[in-house]
Amino acid sequence: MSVFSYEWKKLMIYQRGLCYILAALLVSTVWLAATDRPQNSAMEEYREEYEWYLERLDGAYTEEKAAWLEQEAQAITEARYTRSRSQESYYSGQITAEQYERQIAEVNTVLAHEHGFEAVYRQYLYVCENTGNRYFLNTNGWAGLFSAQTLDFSLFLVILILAATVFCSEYSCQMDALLRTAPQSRKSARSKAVMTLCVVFALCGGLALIRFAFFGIKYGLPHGEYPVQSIACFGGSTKNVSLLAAYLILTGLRCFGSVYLAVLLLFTSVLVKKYALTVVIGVASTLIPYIGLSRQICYRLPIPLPFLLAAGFLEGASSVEDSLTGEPIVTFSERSPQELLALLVLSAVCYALMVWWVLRQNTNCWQSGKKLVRRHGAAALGLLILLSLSGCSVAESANGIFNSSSQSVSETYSVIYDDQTRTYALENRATGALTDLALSPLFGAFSDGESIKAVYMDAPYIYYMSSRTEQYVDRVGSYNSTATQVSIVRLDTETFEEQVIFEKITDSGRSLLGIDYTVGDTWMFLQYCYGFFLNNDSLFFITNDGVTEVSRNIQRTQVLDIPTKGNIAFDGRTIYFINENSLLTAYDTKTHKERPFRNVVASDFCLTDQGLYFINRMDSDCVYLCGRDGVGSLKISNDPALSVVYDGEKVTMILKSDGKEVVFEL
Amino acid sequence: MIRLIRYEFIKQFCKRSILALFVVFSLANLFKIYGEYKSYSFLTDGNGERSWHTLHWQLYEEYRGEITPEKVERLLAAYQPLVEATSDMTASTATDDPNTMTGNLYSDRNLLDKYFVTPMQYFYEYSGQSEQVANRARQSAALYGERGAVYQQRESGAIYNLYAGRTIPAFAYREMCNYYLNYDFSIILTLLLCLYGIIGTFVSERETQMDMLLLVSPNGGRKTTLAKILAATLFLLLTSLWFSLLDLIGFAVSFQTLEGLTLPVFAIPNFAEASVNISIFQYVLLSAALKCAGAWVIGMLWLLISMFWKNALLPFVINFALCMALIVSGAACAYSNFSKVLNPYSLLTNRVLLGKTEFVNLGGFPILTWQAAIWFALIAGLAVAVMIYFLSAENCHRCVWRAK
Repeated sequence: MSVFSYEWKKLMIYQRGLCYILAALLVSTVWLAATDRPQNSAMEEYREEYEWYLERLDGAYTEEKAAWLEQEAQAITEARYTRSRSQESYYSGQITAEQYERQIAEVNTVLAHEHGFEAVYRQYLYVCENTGNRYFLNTNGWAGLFSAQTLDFSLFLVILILAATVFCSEYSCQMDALLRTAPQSRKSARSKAVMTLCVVFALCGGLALIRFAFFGIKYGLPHGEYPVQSIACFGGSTKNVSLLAAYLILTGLRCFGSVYLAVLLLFTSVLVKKYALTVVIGVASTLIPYIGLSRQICYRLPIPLPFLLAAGFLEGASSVEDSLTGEPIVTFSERSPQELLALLVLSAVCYALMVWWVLRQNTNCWQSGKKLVRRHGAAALGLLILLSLSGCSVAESANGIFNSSSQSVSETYSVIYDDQTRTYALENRATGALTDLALSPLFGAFSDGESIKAVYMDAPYIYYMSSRTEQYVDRVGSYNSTATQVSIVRLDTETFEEQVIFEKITDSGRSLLGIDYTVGDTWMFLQYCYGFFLNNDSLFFITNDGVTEVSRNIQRTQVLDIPTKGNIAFDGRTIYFINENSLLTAYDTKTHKERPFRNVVASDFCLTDQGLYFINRMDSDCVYLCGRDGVGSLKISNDPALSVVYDGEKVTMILKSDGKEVVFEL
Repeated sequence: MIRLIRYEFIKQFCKRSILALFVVFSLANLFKIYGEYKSYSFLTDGNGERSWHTLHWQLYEEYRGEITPEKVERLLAAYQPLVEATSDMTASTATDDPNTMTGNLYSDRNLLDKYFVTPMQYFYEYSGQSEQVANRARQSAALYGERGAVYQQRESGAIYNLYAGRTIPAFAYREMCNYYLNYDFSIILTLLLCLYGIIGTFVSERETQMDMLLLVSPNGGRKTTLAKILAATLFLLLTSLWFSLLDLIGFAVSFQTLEGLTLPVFAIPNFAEASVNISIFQYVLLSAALKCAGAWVIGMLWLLISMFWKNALLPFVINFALCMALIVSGAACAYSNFSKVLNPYSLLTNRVLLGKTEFVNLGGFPILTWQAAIWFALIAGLAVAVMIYFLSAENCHRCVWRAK
């Protein structure tokens, strides 16, 4: 066997190098699969509809595409208007069912892809900022692939172990002196160095390949030849690079950085001959500049860190506004290819010098040997156990009645919303005493950024959604950034115990120890949420775009196609709403099936213990009552009504004729 | 025993490499602090006659000290005309206007706004806001009393006691203290240095097979282990204290002032809900003590992990990974009171504990998170130290003696 294969066996098998490499690959893959969220959730949620538009727009911006898109925007707006007008005409008897069907069919062909349109229009606005190099394409795959802009800690730790072991293991058992007496000592050192560098290169390449395969399979990586500026994180770049080339460049730079770090560790280990000092120098040379220096400076240093991060070499300049004077402050200036080349050359020179030094130190010099100490390789890799942002606890069954159009009421408490101050209060129905929500005396006292956004009651619990915006204008490390955190708190009205059952930071930009990074926009919708309800399995958030279901166990989000213009009711299992065709519809949250009640055409409704009160558009807007399954409609009032509201005790309708309130006692 | 501890301390921690790292990390820390000053302070424009730096300190002499109606009126008399002149953004943008302090109207307004009007307004309004909190807490306590919710009543009572009578009577420069209290970089340096120092405590004996020899010594075995634990504790405390002190010195030198240390800690905006009624200087001391406790408990955990290995590499990497996990989980769970209490890293970035009035329910009593965290850290640290003591090999002499 050659020296190389001996060294391979020693480092990779006996010292468990292979084991660490496989562990790093496995951990990275599992972590990626477990934590990945689409960068643009609308594109993923309405993928088919979005792709319908993309087929027509794909590629560079043209005047024709822009005109067509504007035309489409106009058509969709008109179609929405036509639909409501047709419904109005049909339900008031001005047109026949046949005419109505025909009109609706026409409208539906225009609106078939309306959800995808929102996503594509946002992309259009982005493309319009620089039409020369921003193309239309499904960006989720590429954006996810390029989203890794922070240091890959699993790769970093494995490089530390692999590179520090190579020579330190010899020094720790004083084998180095013996090795230097061997005729092939230089060859042995060369084999070790080459093998370590190749393995590190392969590991980094392997990780890049796994990411590429993962995003390719999950979202697709179409049109690698399009300019890199098509992805928002490289939007400001002036480099003329395609998406695929950009990924290859980044991978190449990261591989170079990894190998450079390994060389630095080999060099340090030969220099200091101690495990701990080698590793601490390796960690400090990477981590201290990473946390302590601005990106602007980091990308000018001939150390492994900028190459390990790499993304900044392709990014454009970025700046923030001075919080006081409003003047722009450059936070990152674009690195030109010449600067990158110069840094690469300088780093390569350091690299070569360090390799030369390592080999020189391991060349025969017939030093006196010392007794060998038996060496044992002990190994185990501690896995990073990162706690998820928040957890949800299992609550008792929710079976209270919820109507988004009115505040909830239980036997003992009712929720009162003050339009003027935009605050919620809890009224004790027996005593009439009012208690402000949230209960904490500190809530909102020192900050305007704290507010209650919605309340859901399910006796004896009251759930409220609080939003807290913190501005870090003056803070060190996170210059001028804001963070909004939305929580759902469960308040037990009997014991006044409060428990947070759901909590998320909604912004996609985050900062840790001054290191800024971004996550997907999954939780952004919480900022625009104005109502919610829940059961044991899921939380449902009402926004203008629909109802978003969040499973309480695995925190997966799904947008339900429920129009939120009117009332939304929930009885613990079924969501009731009025669909686009004005039909009262039930959506079963267990089976995920939607069932429109064919005979119930309503302009407004409310859910009560008795059943569903609704304003029947087919009968001059009179109020009817039907069962929760939509059958057994019964006329309740002969007067046309504008709205019908249930407040927990009684149903109130507002008359169309004079705006008076009529109360039905249940 | 004291001699043994001294020997262990000298052997483990008075090494050239540690001293070199101490110097390098301290310099890195000072550079970083100076970088913070240059990046974030508006008073870095030199000592020119019309510079913000010069003008600020001139004006400061006028407004410092007790906030009186005269001072407020004088300040507003200078500020209001500037606001009116610049409100429609049509005022001259000339930078050499002789009728202004800094040469520019907008710049004058910004200087007064940033360093005098906004802080003074905050100081002035704070007592009213805290009074409001105290009143709400008193009302809540009464309500909970009626409903029989004892824990909530106690919590409201504690909030009342904390917030009743809070006031910021004097005006002082607070920029330096603001950045000092929000500074985190030195924590990473402390942790790295402590990790490097701690990792060799047991491992170096094993690497040189000195552990076998130690067992035959009368002072070997658990006695040496105890000395090592105490020496490591001393090292952790000294390192932590050094960086706390260095931070204060660094900020004071960079900002060229120690003004503001006598202000109450809630004079800093993101400490408005601080759970302690102390001055910033007292806070600095408390924070240093909490940092020591955090560093000590993390250090004991590292020590425990490192005693099972024969070389320093894997325990170093595992301990480093553990540290990163604590940091990341500390940031991710910063809003959960219990995870803050259980995570020793929050003692290091102790503003997450001291900056908010938050309680944990321990046996029906509301305990402030920083108090709970320090108790938990001390108990956990002691438990780990005891584990290290009993898991270490016993002295052979004693084994033989016991066998007899």
